Amino acid sequence: MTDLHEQLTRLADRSTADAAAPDPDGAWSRGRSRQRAQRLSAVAVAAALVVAGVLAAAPWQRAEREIAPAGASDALRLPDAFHDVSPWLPATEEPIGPLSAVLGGYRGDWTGGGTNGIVGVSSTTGEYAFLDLPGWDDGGASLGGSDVALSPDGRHLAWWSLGSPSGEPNTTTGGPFTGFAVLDTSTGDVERVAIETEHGINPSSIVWGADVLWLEWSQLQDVRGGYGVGSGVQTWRVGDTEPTAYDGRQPLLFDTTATGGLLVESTGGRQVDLVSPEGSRRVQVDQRLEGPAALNPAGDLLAVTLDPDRAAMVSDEPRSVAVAEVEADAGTDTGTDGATLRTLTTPEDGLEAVEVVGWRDDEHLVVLARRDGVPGAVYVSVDASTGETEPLVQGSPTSYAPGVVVAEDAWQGVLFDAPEPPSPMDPRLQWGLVAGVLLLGGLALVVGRRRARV
Amino acid sequence: MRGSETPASFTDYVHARRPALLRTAYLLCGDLHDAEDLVQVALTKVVPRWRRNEDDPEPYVRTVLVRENVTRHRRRRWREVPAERVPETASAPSEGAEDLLVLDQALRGLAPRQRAVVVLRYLDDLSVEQTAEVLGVSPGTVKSQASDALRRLRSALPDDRTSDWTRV
Repeated sequence: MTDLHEQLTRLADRSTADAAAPDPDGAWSRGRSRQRAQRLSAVAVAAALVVAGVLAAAPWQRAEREIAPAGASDALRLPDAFHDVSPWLPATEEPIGPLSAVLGGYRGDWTGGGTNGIVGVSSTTGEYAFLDLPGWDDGGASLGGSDVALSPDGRHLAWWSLGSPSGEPNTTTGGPFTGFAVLDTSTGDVERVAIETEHGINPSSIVWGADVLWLEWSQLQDVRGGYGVGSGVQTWRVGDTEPTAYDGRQPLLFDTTATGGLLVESTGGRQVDLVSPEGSRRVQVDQRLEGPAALNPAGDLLAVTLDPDRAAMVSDEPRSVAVAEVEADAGTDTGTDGATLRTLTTPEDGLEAVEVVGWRDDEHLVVLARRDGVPGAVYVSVDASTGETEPLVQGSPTSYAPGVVVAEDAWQGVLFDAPEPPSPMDPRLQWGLVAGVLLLGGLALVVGRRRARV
Repeated sequence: MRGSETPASFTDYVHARRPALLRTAYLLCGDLHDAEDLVQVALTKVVPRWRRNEDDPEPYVRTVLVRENVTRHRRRRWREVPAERVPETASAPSEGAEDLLVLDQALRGLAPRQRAVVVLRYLDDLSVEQTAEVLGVSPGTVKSQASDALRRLRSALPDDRTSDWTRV
């Protein structure tokens, strides 16, 4: 008999047998050049924009296009495509109304560097704009998927906010974060909620379920000190002065979607947890799952992707899509329900599913899928009865963290023709071109005068 | 010279700790190639803050490693994935190899963060509080996830192979 540590050690020993020799110089060199590479890529993008700017009529004027004010309609709409954004996309100065989605974007600056920004996609106009988010950590690394949370109605965007802790800040893992903030996209109001902390907090998860924001974080101690105390899972509603501890079974807040007030959490293996502020209920299915699960608006169908390759922890293989009937309105006590999965599509059928993201209506789920081998290239509607598929939304070709975050209600919204965002010219190049033209003109003048003298 | 720019503390750390990081990474992601890449990327990412952490870099490096793994898991949803990999060849049969294979498969069945709890607690021997810090969750979550993970691992392995697993 052996203990778990010994067994894990023997298993892990496989990793070092054929490992390449360490290369600290290489790692150091790559680390040092990361920022330089980012700057070079910004310059390359800018150079491409110059060409586009020369060919296009009045490119700079396009950049000045006003972002339309918040619209009257409350129902979210769904753009038929998500586009890449220019580093010089303008920021919004006025509220742009409910957002169909937010996505990550690289925001250029005059020094040649750039920052991590969040772009809002207006449900009203379909236009894109960088959002000015007070306290946003625009220079920090991604928090691993918990960077931002967009409410189901697209009205509120939440993020972890920077601040000054009462003691010496611990920036070992970024920050210092001292709370979270929520933007009302219709009014532009920002509600900042401070968390009392001496050295800063370590954000873990931030997720909306209806009008409830679910959070988890831990306290940091000083740089030399030990480890911090976790908050446990907490809930917060707009207007609350502070979060409330959630005393039910602690959800992971990972691989989570939301339907109505329920968080739907696929915890791997064969189980899905349905979590509300009042408690949780577990659904035990008959096949192994991988990736998020989603519950239809009626609450009686659960959509999942199946584990395509048990041998791989997180497989790159495309997945099959399946649904299971579950009891609607069963409440969220701590009971466990059994459910039988019915496969709708398989990769062999032609749909290379990556994950389930939501429901278009009670009979059609939405699946993020590959196209031409690229994961996330297209969102597809799948009929929950027949398995018939139909392309719905074109995915973003490339995207910065946190990727494309679509408001839950937008999946059920009217599909509209999404305009491409503007591609403004790099203002430095614009001024450089002006300076260059002036310089060339001056040189021509000097040369002309000299020739005239000769 | 590139090498002359690398601080001795970084070089020493990489030489001393890379094997341990590789072992952790392998159990986190389950693929030798991914594990090497994960460690390499984590080491690259800690460079900008190295000076601040060089006296005791381990917690920071480990945090970056685990989070990078979680981020990769999420990123696979909407970004290009690495090119196809050659399947790993099986290790030479040895005593207990079958048990290891079963444990390996059982580990692969856990959700990424739950797997991280197992690796950090039972391979790296971090305390509940340290594991919570690395993962950015509460100690209570670590305990409940560790308990759930052990239950799942136990169900996959013969009873006589898991009777010593007592610590949560």
